[in-house]
Amino acid sequence: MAIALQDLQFAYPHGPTILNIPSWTVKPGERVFVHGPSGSGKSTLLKLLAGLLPCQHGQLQVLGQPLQTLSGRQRDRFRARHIGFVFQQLNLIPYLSVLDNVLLGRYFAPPDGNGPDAGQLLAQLGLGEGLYQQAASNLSLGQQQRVAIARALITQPELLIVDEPTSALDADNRDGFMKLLFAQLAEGQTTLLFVSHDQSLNRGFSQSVSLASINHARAPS
Amino acid sequence: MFFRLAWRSQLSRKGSVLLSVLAIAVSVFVLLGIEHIRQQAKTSFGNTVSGVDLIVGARTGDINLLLYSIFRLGNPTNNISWDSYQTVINKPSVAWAIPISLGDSHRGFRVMGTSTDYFKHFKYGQKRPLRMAVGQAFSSAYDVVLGADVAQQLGYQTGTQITLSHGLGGTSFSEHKDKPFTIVGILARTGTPVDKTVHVSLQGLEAVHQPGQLSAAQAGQLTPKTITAFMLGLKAKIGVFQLQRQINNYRAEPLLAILPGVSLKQLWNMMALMENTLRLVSGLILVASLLGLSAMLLASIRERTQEINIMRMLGAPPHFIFLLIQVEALFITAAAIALAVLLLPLASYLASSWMGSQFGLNIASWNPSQIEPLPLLAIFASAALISLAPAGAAYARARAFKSA
Repeated sequence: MAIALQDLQFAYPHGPTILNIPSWTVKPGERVFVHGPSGSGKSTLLKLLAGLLPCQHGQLQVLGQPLQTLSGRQRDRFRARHIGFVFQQLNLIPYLSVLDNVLLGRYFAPPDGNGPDAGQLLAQLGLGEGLYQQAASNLSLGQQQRVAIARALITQPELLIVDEPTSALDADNRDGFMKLLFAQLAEGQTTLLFVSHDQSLNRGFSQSVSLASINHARAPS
Repeated sequence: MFFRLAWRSQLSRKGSVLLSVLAIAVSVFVLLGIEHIRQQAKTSFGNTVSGVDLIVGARTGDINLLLYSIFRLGNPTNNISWDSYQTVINKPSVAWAIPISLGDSHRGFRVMGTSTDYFKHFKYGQKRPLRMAVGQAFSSAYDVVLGADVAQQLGYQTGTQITLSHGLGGTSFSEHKDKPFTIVGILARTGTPVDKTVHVSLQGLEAVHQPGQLSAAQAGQLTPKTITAFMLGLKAKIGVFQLQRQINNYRAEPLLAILPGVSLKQLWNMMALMENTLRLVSGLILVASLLGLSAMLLASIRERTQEINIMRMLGAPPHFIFLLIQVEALFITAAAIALAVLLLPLASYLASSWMGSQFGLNIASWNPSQIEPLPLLAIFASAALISLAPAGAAYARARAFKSA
């Protein structure tokens, strides 16, 4: 299983229970669309899956690895090596060049063999060589999100987590983004977890899940 | 990539980074500058006189006698009679004596009346004798020998005639215009107050204070009635305390004999308080500037939350963020030290002539090769210590993964 949750519960210190998921699985290579209103615990779930938050209760397997048994440092390494991220806006480090932003994606992952070439990735995403040395902050939002895809894919992650990536984009850029994303994933075995409150994006996915249907925690009123 | 990240991050905040660099550069400048002056002053002090066993003058404080006889600072309290001088130097244990007579000046430089024994026996530094750069010692009453600085600053050469002024200071109302002196020699540079002294014979000095014209031959016959002080060299060092006691108990006139080494040390100990105060102040200035750096970095952490989160997403452990902030602080400190090191030689060069004329201290220009690792290490260590605050804040933020 790419993702296997069993009896997962989570609450922030001094806060109510936000997540209570008795069971949920995602098969490898699946394209999963997760939707739910803001405040429904989407970000918290993603942070748990990524190992950014420690799993307090229950079992949380990602790519066969039980995250609740790993230390913080081990989770950081696991995330660097196996999980790619694209999130809302401000995805890039503004003062680094486009190329450095992409290479930073590989910096924290342990080096293994020959990953994809950064230039090739950027070219596939329609970003020309002229942009490589530009500071990320000089790019348009649409371009920035494409650089973010390149950065996420440079480690050839088994799991790609995409969190509200189009919320700052206009309709044209949004469609372009979705197209490029699926094109990049077409041949690989990468599992995609796509989170959005915008259900109109729900096309081309193999599974569509409403977070409310798997999360039994009562939404805070 | 790590250093590129740190470097680019600072470039993106040029303004505040530059101001922090300047603030720390100023404090490092003060710290190294004071340390330099302290060491140079100490060396300069210790090197002023050597090989002299006793200095004798009218009864006054030890340090006062040392200051006016050797450093040409302050004013002699009283003169001593020629008879007392003769009595002391005729004691069997005395090997040589150098009389000193002060009170006149030439264009701000002090005039010292002495004998040719001065050029033979006076030593400075590590027992180095005086050496003539040009010409020779005075032989006639109206001959004068200049210290290196006097000749250089006034542009004098041998053969030039000069007049002495009564009293000290650059402009005197009573000039001895009727009795000009001829420059016959210029001493090689010593780095001591000798360089700023105009040397004449006791007879010449006596002559200018006599009314009416006197030929050099007539003047050479004069015997001074008083002198200001004298230096003594003994045949055997072992007799020095005995002679000191004899002189201090001299009946006919109240005299004081001091051991120059001991009084130099006393003088330096008196300065220790000032020295330590200066060090403390420069240390505090450094701490203040580093606290400023820390505050700047701490303020930047808030606006860098997004950036920290991105790195965490990419798998950066929290200690990576911690190190990034620390390295940025050390970057800024290193840049500030480099700036201070560039400015110091220039500033010390400008200050050295002023220090020389004001305090009789010979301060060499600061040379980057004299950087000692210890103060630098201390500066870096303090920077690292003080930036624990912003680095710690960044670490906490990275660990908690707070959203912006």
